[in-house]
Amino acid sequence: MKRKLISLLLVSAMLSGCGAASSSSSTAQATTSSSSGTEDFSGVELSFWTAPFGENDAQFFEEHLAAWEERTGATVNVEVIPWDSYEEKYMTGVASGTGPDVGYMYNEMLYSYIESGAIEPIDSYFTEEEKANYIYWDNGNVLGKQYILPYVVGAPRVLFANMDLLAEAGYDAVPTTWDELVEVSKAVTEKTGKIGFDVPWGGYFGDLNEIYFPFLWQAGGDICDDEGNLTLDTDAALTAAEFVYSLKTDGVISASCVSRDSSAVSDDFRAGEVAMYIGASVGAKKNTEAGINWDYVPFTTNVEGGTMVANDSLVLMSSSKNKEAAVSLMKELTSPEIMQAFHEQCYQMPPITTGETYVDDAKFESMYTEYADQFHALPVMKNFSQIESALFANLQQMMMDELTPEEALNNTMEYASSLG
Amino acid sequence: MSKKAKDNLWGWIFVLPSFLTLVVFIVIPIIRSFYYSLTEYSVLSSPKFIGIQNYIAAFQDPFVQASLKNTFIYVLITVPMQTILSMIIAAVIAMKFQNRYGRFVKACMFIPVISSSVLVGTLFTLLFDTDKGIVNSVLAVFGVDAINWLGQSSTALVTVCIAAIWKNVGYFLVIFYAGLMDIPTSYYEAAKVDGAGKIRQFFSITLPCLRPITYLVLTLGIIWSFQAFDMVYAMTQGGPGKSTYTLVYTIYNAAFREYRMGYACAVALILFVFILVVNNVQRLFFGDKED
Amino acid sequence: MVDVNKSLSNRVLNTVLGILLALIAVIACFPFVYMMLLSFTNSTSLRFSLSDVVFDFANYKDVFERTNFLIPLKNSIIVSICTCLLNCVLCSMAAYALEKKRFKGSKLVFAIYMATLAVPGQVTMIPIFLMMRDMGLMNSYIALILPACDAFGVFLVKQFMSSVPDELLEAAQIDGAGEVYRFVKIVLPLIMPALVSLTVFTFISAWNNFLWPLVICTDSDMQTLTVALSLLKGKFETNYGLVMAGSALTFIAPFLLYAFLQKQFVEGIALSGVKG
Repeated sequence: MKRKLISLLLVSAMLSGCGAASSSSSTAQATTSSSSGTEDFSGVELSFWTAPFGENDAQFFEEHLAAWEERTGATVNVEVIPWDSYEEKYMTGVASGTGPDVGYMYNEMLYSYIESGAIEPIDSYFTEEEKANYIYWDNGNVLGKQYILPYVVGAPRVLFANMDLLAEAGYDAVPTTWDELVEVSKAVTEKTGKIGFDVPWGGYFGDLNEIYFPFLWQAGGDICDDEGNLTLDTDAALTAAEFVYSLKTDGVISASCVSRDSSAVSDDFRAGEVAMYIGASVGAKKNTEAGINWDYVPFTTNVEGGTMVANDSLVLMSSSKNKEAAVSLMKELTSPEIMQAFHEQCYQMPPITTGETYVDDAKFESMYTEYADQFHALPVMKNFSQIESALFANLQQMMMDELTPEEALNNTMEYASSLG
Repeated sequence: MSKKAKDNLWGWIFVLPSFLTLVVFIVIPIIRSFYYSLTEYSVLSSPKFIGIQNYIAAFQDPFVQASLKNTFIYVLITVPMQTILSMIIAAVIAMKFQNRYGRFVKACMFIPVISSSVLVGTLFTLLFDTDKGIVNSVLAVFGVDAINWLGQSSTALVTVCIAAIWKNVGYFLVIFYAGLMDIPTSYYEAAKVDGAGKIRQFFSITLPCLRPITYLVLTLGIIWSFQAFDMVYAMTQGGPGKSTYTLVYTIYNAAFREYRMGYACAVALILFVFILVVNNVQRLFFGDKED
Repeated sequence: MVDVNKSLSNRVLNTVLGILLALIAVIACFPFVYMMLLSFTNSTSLRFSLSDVVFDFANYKDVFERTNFLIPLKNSIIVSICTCLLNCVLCSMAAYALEKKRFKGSKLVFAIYMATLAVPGQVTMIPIFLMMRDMGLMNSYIALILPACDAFGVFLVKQFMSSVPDELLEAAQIDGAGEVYRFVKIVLPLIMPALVSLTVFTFISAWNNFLWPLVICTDSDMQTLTVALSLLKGKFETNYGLVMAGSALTFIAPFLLYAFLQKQFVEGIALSGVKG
């Protein structure tokens, strides 16, 4: 259950140099086209469901899949589903047999679909050679089988810092431990009157990815063990909760943190009002545009280092009538050419195949190779949404002094066990 | 054919098109969702009958308990406030400003109704921001300390209620105004001859004539407030803690985030019973006398 | 003297009330102003400063380019107008029967109408959806229009129907007017204010409906405006300038309809004459 991104040591050699990357890119292309030369899916209609990543995803995929459609004779209907009701659409679609053949899904969704048999394992459809091309192939092994093809992997939740504010407070490096974080934050507040470090506790349970889970991993804990049992009753979980609480009681983060959501915090960072915050690395572009002299560390360390990373995937739906064609589409979608164009035009993310060149922010390039071991994806486990809701509500109550850290975690454990 | 028989026949003819649509698209789905409430149903796999287990679980669920309490408080705050405010504003416009100005004000009041709840929710989040919000700035002028509106359990729900009232007043204003237009002006002329002032006219003519409309507004207000969802979704997501969880927010979460449709249907049925009970109590006071 | 005092105090009262109303109106306009200003920025958050505002309509142009605006606009217009027409016809007929006919079973029928209002749409959506699929109605205007007819409209019109004088209907009957004639020529004009309100409310809910058109249509040619515009929102970063430009464009139709019908409203009442 506990899954980390595999080490990229092997891959890093290919990514480090531009020349090496482009040469491997061309070999990957060669294998793709040679294997697809025999494919004939004339008359097959496939539907692909995805979310809005770029400006016009439907158009992007229609353009980039045209060559594949030509080659195989299949047609692809791309349906872009708004984030707002992504799961509602999938639920009704899959339940009524009008769902897609290939779909984009995020980890929180997977359990229910896998459990109900809506997702088909893909292991047998890929050759060993093809598997080796996927940097994160092993991340796709969830609940004991290769159910998913890791597709959007990245956007770790990193600690951003405004280096000008830190300099004013007398520091020239982003803090790397909890103690330093508190120290620098207090110094910033003292010297500049700005908020040193802010954590939004007024959003929704998805914010746990920035406001609690990183600290949990840094304290040496985890959300669940290898058998999928919730482990929020460990000392590490308590240490993390107590640290998070102490940030408020010590006056490090703003007293009104429970009324602030993540956009309030990142807005204030971009306005120079907040010196440090934890956010998805994709926020870097906006930080730069706002004229902030920013730097980052992937995480602060306590017992160990660690933070949350997205591990979204492509899945093959069991209801697909032409799985061979659907898998071929998955391979085409994740081919170096399309992925690189996708990462350039739609969504800045690190490469997912060995053939692709890195196009994300240069500052983050080394992070993916150096710290891959400490990047954690959310677990695929039963009742995870409910547990997240309860954990978030209980920790919020802790932040409002209504519960102690122990009570907050115990309540969550109790609630989780009541769900069965 | 007797008049009674003719009325029966024509009554059914007139009601049938609407009633059939209702039965097919609403009544049958409701019956099906009642069945789901007795099953374990993730929507993705077929329902499995489990008796009343969902109901037992619902009454023990801390989220449902909190939602029940919050929903009642929400109804108790929003329904009277939005009803009284919209009635007064409608009456003032109808009595004093039946002109271009009145129409302009009514059009403005309708803007919140058309605006999306996300937009309204965000605006209120900004207005009631603890550190920079206008509300706290105004209060500071009067020497009131900054209130952590959305950041503490005691005020978060009230803040959501204020936003909801503000969004709904324009809606019920339209209904009340239409009701006021329905009152024959001859009534007022007669009252004037008797020397009744505007205030007396309001209480002796306007209010009694508005009775069916008030009943309508109260009934809809209660039903809709019991189903409060949009503002919670846009402003607080149920937090902080469980202080703004409402029943429909819990239902929504269970159905679409947690894949527990059976459970969601059970909570919906509990909600249904509460609405019927409260509505019947309300009807004793404001309902049509003849019923 | 008394009269002068009275008219003076009356004028003071009028002024005070007028100012109060103006205040309320200003507060009510706030979201609209905010939306308009935000739609002229490139702000990636819903908070923005006035210095970001540039009146260049770039966002509006972008919305048109990125959403194929005209197709969803056409769909939204068709669906909303048909829903309004259907709802007005069905609701006024049902309300007439329930209020003026008092046929056998009418109380039970009305109770069923009211009971349906008490069930949240979140739990009926899936059954309705499965039914539509079984009828082969996915991706059709019918699927978008039919479920919008609910008990609210019947209840609304029925409450207004009670003010239609029974004597008038009886008199017409004595004159030999048929059932349909009486309904169309006497009842409908008298309940115009209610129908206007109903049209406005139905239009707003049909126009703003999001979840239902999203799930029932898989064909992008059938997308409604709300669904098409929701695609402008990103996961981490959203250009709210663009989103608000889209919101402003969707806002116009219901607002114009209301502003226009507001006048009809008054004229409708004047025309019907009977009630003064």
